[in-house]
Amino acid sequence: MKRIKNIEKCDFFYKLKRKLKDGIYTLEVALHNKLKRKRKNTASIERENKLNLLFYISLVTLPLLQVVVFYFYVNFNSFFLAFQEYNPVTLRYDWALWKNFDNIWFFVSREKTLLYCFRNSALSYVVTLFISLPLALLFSQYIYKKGPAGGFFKTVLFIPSIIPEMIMTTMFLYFADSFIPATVKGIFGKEIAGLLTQGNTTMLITLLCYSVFISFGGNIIMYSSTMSGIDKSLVEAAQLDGATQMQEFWHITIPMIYPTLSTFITVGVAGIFTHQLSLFSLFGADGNAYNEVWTIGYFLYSRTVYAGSANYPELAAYGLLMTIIAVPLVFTVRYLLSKFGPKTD
Amino acid sequence: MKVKKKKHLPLLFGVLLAGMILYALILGYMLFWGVTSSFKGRLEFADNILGLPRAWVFENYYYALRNFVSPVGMRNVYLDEMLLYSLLYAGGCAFVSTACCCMMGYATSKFKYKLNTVIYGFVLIAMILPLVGSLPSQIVVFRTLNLYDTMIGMWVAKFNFISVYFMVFHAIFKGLPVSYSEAAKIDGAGNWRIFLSIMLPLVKVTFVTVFLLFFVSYWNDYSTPLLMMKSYPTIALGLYYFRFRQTPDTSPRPVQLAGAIMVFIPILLLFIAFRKKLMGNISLGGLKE
Amino acid sequence: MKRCKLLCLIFAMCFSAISLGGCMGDLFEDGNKNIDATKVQIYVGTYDGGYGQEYLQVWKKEFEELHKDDEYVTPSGETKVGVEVVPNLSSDYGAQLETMIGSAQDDIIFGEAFDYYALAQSGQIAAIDDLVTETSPFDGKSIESKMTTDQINFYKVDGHYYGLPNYEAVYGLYYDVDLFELNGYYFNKNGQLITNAYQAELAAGNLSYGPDGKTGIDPKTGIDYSIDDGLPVNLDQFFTLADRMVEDQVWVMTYADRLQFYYNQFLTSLTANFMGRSEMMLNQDYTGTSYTLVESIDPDGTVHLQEGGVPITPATGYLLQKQAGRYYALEFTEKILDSTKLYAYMPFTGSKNHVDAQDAFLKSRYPDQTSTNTKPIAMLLDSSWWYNEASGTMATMAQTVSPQCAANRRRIGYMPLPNETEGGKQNTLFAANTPSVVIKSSVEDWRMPIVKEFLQFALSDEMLSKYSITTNAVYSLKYTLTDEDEENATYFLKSLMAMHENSEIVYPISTSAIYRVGAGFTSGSARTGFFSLVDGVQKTYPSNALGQDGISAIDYFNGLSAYWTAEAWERTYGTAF
Repeated sequence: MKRIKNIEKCDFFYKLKRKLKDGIYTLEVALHNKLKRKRKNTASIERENKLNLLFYISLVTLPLLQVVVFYFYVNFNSFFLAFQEYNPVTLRYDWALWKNFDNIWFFVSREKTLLYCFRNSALSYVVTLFISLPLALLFSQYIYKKGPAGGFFKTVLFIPSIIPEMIMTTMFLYFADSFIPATVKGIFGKEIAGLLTQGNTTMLITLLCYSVFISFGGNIIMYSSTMSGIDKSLVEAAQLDGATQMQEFWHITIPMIYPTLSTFITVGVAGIFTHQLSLFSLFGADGNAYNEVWTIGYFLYSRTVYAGSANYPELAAYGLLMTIIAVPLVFTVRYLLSKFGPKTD
Repeated sequence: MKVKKKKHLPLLFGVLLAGMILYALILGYMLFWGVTSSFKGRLEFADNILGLPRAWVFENYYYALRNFVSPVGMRNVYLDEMLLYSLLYAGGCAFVSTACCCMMGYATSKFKYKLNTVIYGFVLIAMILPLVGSLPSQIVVFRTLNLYDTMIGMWVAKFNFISVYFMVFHAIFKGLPVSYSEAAKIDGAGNWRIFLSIMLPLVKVTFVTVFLLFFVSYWNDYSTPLLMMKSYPTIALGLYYFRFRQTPDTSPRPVQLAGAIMVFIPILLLFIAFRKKLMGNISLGGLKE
Repeated sequence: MKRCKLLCLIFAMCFSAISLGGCMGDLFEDGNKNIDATKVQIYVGTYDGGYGQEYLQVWKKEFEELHKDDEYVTPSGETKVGVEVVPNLSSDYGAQLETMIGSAQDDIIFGEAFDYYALAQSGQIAAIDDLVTETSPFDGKSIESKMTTDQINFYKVDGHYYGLPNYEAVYGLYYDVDLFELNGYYFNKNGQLITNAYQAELAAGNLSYGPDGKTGIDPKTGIDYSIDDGLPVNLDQFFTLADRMVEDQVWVMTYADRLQFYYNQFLTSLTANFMGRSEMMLNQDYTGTSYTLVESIDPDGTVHLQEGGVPITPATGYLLQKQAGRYYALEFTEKILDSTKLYAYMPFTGSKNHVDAQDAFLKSRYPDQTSTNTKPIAMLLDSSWWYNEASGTMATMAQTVSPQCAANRRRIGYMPLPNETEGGKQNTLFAANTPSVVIKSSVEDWRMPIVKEFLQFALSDEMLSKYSITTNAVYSLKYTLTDEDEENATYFLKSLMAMHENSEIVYPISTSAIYRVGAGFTSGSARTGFFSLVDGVQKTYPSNALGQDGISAIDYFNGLSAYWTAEAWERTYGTAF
């Protein structure tokens, strides 16, 4: 009885939970049945079922094994690593319980670096959410509606995703540091510092603009493809009713691609902790002159690159702390999206 | 009844068009400036930042080519060898990733086992669950398995189906009518035969698109080889070294630009050639509930 | 479809072309791999940057000539005639040497930044006592006699030598001597800036004795102390000169603002010169007494030192952050990077790397209509390898601008750094990095003697002189240029050699356990780093913090101690005490 009520809630999150519970329960039943003597089926159907099962197992074993080792084991190991320390004599990891967290606390209590990291990472996500995303959606709408030269712009917007990050950042670095000051000097006669030379607000804004600039690429492809799957009759009905482009965008397009959209937004939350604002491509691991524009992703990655076995436990501890912060954040965002999102009706 | 085509652009479109033109102009000019500046002499660049080169110096490209090296142990790896490693890494990993997503997508959509829902749910959760900082642990595990710093290790690591493309394949396979496989079964084909000869060709377009997308992202990936596969440097890693291990010949900015352009031009040409395939239609149809 | 097939075909062709393998390597490495099987090979590795590798070619030629008719018998009975030195110019293996030496083909490695002690203990490098202590047949001296006591203590591990010093790089200010003489930027004995009357005062012998307080050639040692005559004796004189330069429309200095750690290294040199050798060595050994710890600093910059000496142990090493020399170095930074004073040329706009800074410095005196900068730059802040790095630019300028721009015609020299307040202190140089040369222990027994002989040959006086002529730099041993080389030496080299002879040199080496915890060249260790905590933000580069962020030298100096508290010290270096 309870289950039928839940079906009516179109809430994706609840559906998922139910599916999982269902799946696990029926799996248990199936296992239980298999262990008991089976009723005799006709020989051929039984054989076919066996063959199907064998085929299925042959398909899924290796990937599942890979997931068990490289996802479950790696993450469990990461969890445990956070509570260990490296012994340079035995070359093994010993248990050290709180030592890593103690070091982290010492670091955090003295310096504002991590505060800046959080601020910048959050700022980057906000910019992505309120600038990149709407722009990407609008551009996708344009392309989906086959606005003039839509195909050409689709290619142009996609180019930065194709170019290796290093190349794009090399050109951007010299562009921002040499070209822009020279242009400003030429036009306004004023001498300004290169945009990426001082770790200040100018640099942060420049980096954020750059991250918006290169973000379009794959997103646009995904959105415009999903948009092209929208039922044409809805669109025609809206146009007959005299809806403007903006209204059509807001009331039809967005709700129809909402599941895809909300998936991307949710996945993007995890990205807060890994996004580097291209800092590593711009400055490598020596970004020390620009503490105030660091992000969490850059902080962790630059430390990992030159880390030795002795440093891994502390990095794993950082990772654990970040995860503890991130997980509720993701589920909160997911909840908010499903609660306040448009319903397909 | 066909709706009449509007004679003038809606305001929204006008604004968007202006925005995209601006974007194209900025990108285009940045690339143009990059290319022309790469021909400037070392001493000229400081004085002539904005204009076209007064004297076209082609030696910059020679220096870039000659010094585009990755250090592996005590020897230098040059561009030709790096190209080989890039092809192996990008091609191998892309194939392996696509194949894994495809296999799992097929398995979970065509067979009625309860494990499928578990797997699908797991992928959804794993994709959104932010597990940060597992890189060090990954390195440790790789070292233990003796897969660290090997090409095979990379392929094994990328043989992973926790990605959006698994859902894409799942949706596509689910959309294929059962009649195809049933007809084949009547003719006596085994499961593997059905999968390889019938199902795969049907999803060929998606397979190629996903493969290309993976290929591009692995081709441009320098962070993974930097951490885990230093002995087989790819071109992307070579670019990293070119930027951050400068010799007196490659320190001048025009030479740095020359190196960047030198690698970029072939990629751009390939992209233009394959753009239709790359920017093909991919949708997460299966997510619509 | 046709296009697709064509592309696939092209790809396949490329693929097969490359799998024929590594042709680029052979093409660009000048066929180094083609060795002469009739000769015995000696593989020598070095880093082809900074000092380059031409010196290896010079040594190679001389050594091969010396042994061209000698016979060597391999264990398999084969006879080889002659020796072939094979230079390997590849990686900047740096600190990775410890892990890579096992697979290295090189017999002798001129390396830098690796942990010498750990490598020696690992048994992967050969003991070379014989080659170091015996009298060399090439110059009649032992290599040991050319080393300082610090070096002997450092390179001897458990009583055996496993390596020898390599190049000597000094970060400093390199000044344009021609410009100085043209404008008379020298001080006389009364402490006045001479300018126009330079020639007259020079003839009358009125130049000041310079920072070291001495002049002329010491009859006993033959050391020339006149190289710094007339140059600013202390910081006050230095900034008087700087102000005069600004009036004359001359930039005082320029440096690679994109590479902030260059400036940090210079600051270490400056600090060493202020503190003197014994105080500076405390930062390596952490045993002794410091007499220059600061008690307090007045807002106007007057420094009050702590009374008496403060004993320093590895556990109390953090107290050294209060050494007064650091404050004076920061004060210098605050003044010279003051954006209102226009001393430094474009310190933060345009973001120059070291190559750009060198070019700007060299070109500044020869502007043409298209140059953006028409004011001469008086000094370049860089490391002594810069002259070799800029050889390409100087050669180009010699052809396109004026023959006077050639490397052997320009007169650019190392500027002996001023003292903080008084004069009359011996110049102190701080050698950057910890470069060493080692021999791999897995060299076959039959080849080891000739390999060792090559190193002994390379470090003989004549060969070291040739090294200097080729690289325009100094090697970290005691030697002088041969008469012939002295005639052909550039002014730059002569000034470096003079400084090498008349200064106290502090090498960043030590046998203390705490040095080994942070051993090797890192810009982040307490010795050479300037980590500071100002308002909760960690600063690493004073040039950035003082020049751009507007932090005062006093705050930065206090921040040094705020960063290295007893607890922070213990967490980082606690394993060593």
